[in-house]
Amino acid sequence: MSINSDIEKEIDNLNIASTEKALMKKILSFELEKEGSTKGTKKYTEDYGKMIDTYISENSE
Amino acid sequence: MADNKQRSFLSIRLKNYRQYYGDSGKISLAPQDGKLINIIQGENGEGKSNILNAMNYCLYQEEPHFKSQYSGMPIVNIRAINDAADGDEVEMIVELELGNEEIKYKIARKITFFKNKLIKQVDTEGRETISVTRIGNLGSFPTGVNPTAKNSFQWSTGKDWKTEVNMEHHIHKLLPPKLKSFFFLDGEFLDEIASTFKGVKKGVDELSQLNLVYITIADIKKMVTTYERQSKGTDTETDTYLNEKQNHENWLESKNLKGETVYDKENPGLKMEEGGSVWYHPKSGKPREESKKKELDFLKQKIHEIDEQLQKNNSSVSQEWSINLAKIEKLLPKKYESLEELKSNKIKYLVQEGPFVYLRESVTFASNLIDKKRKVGQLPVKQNEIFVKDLLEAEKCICGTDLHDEKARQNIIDWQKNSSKDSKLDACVEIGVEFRNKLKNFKKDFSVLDKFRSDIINLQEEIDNYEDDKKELIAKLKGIDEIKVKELFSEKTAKEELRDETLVELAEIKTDIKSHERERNTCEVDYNRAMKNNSKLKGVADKLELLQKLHKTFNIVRHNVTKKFQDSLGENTEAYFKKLVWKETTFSDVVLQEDYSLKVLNDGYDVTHDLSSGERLVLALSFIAAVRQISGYKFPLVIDTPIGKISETPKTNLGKFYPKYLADTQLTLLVTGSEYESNIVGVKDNPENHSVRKLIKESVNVEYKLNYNEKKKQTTFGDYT
Repeated sequence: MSINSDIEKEIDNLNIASTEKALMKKILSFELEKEGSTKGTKKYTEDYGKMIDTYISENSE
Repeated sequence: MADNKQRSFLSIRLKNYRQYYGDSGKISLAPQDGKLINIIQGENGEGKSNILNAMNYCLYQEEPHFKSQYSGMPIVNIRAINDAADGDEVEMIVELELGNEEIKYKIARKITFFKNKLIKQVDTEGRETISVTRIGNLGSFPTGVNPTAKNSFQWSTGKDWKTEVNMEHHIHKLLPPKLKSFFFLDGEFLDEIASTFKGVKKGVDELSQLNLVYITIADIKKMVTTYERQSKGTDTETDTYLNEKQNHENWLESKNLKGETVYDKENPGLKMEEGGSVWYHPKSGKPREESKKKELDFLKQKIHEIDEQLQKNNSSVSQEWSINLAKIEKLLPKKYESLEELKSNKIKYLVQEGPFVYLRESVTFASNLIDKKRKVGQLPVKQNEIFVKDLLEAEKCICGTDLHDEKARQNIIDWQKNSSKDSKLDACVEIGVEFRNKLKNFKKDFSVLDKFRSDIINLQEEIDNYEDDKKELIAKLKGIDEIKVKELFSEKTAKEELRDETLVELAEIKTDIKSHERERNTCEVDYNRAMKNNSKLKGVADKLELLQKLHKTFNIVRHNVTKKFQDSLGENTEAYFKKLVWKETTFSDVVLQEDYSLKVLNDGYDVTHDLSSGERLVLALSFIAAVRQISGYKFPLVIDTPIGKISETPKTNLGKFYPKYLADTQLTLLVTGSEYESNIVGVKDNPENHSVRKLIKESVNVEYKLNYNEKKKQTTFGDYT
């Protein structure tokens, strides 16, 4: 299942950096995957943390 | 296995489900040649509603469209149970296939049990009945049997079928339970339209993926809290700002330091249901605002219900009658008192002025006499005495007679003596002045009496009118439960006062929330700055700043998407409704509320509860069309008795509109013969008096007729002839 196009459009319309928009969509896809999965919560918290860390390291400087 | 294309029911199979005896086999509903309307015709009681129930049972193990006469019946066909010998296996199957050209879903509920000896009981009227027991979600079965359920959810994109374990999860993905009442419509749904719409919010949120945004926001918040915890204990300044920020957040969320919700334990909330337990509003912030909003909605609903009850009691009029009667009853004793006072004053006046009135002629005579005597000098008498003395001393009368003569003098003295007998008349000289004045004012005084008389007559007439009105009002109010009306009005007033207080409190809460939000944001800026100044916290600060920004932006997305959906849902519902209802001028607006309930307005007045059955159906259909449009969700629609309650003109409009209404949505109509086939007469746009069947003929895919055997009490699917 993909993200609802209205939500995607709203993200695109936000006055933020394109990398931030991409991160928001990535987070939503992550949540979508989480919703239909049986993975544990702890695993997802770790993955969330990694996703944030990766974004910061990729976009710092 | 996801798809975004229109889904249709492809088939339904019923085996020994309620009155459907035996195996119906697959009854095809699959669209052909682009035709999307299916007709299943049956008369009342022949099993139309149980098709709706079978579909719901298959998907959600619920039978919401249940008729009360079946409440004591087992879910499995009675004949199938009776035909089986003790120890034989009895089987019930409800199976649905739905999908599109890309993917098919097969959902089956199969129940088997071994028949035991049926347990009978005798009811209060001495009749023997078979005892039935409800077993969980499975339904009702003859007492003592042990049913086994075998459910399956399969899907296929080609020849092979794949089975999913978590059946309910996949069904809910196809159509969330919260939305099912918008796709399986019946009369009850239409009658409860106002309340039922409220439950749709969760479903719409799921369909539009707004729930995903809510979950994301909550997850980001959790991450924020985790990183904030990591920042603690490094330096005092950071901790101070964080504590202040968290204090504002706790206030905004009505939470204590442990993260538990804080309630306003001193003031219990309103009892919202009969016998409901005591509950309390959250103490502060947005939860309190939400809680108070709910209470406000409850109060508004209750006030509306009271208004409806008052209307039923004809109270708008009877209330006026009661008020008028009370006024009259209060006024009448005072009027009678005034009347008595007037009468008494009149008598007092008569007593005082009466003698003069009655002796007017005598007074006039006396007055004239006095005047006459005065003119001839006979009055006043005392003056005569002095005058005679003067004449005797002068020894000459005014007539020239010499009064030296004794006889002449004696004559004068005798005259004076005689006239002194009338000396009392001297008093008349004084009274005469009064008499003259009295006579002069006589008309004026007499008019006072007239005024008394006319006032008394008028007041008596007024009293008589009030007495007549009183009698009439008592007669009118005789059939009305006046006490109940009074109670209702008093309850309404109390609720209105509470509503007004709640409105004031809500306005105050909103202001406080804004203030706390502002202060919280200031604290957050200070907190972030303090962290960045601390080299040990720089890494955490970066993550937190990003998460804070994400939290804000996702909230903006949530707000904008919600507003967009709601606006679109409201506008589309209104557009469909006005197009369908054929009364654009009668209904000025259709308003979608935050909780997704709908209001139909006429010049600003809420007329939702005054809609006719037909108009409610149109509203429901309009809303469904709009929900479908905004969500992009395409589930088939089934409507039980879709036009039975509608008058001829909207029936024609619906007949013409159904094929176009949800152009790419399958529509299965469960109809009676008369609503489907009877000619529609007297409608300008239908000069040939076409029936609904004729109006939608070109769009009809399949037509089935339910054949009901009264003797066997069983229904089978047959061809439409």
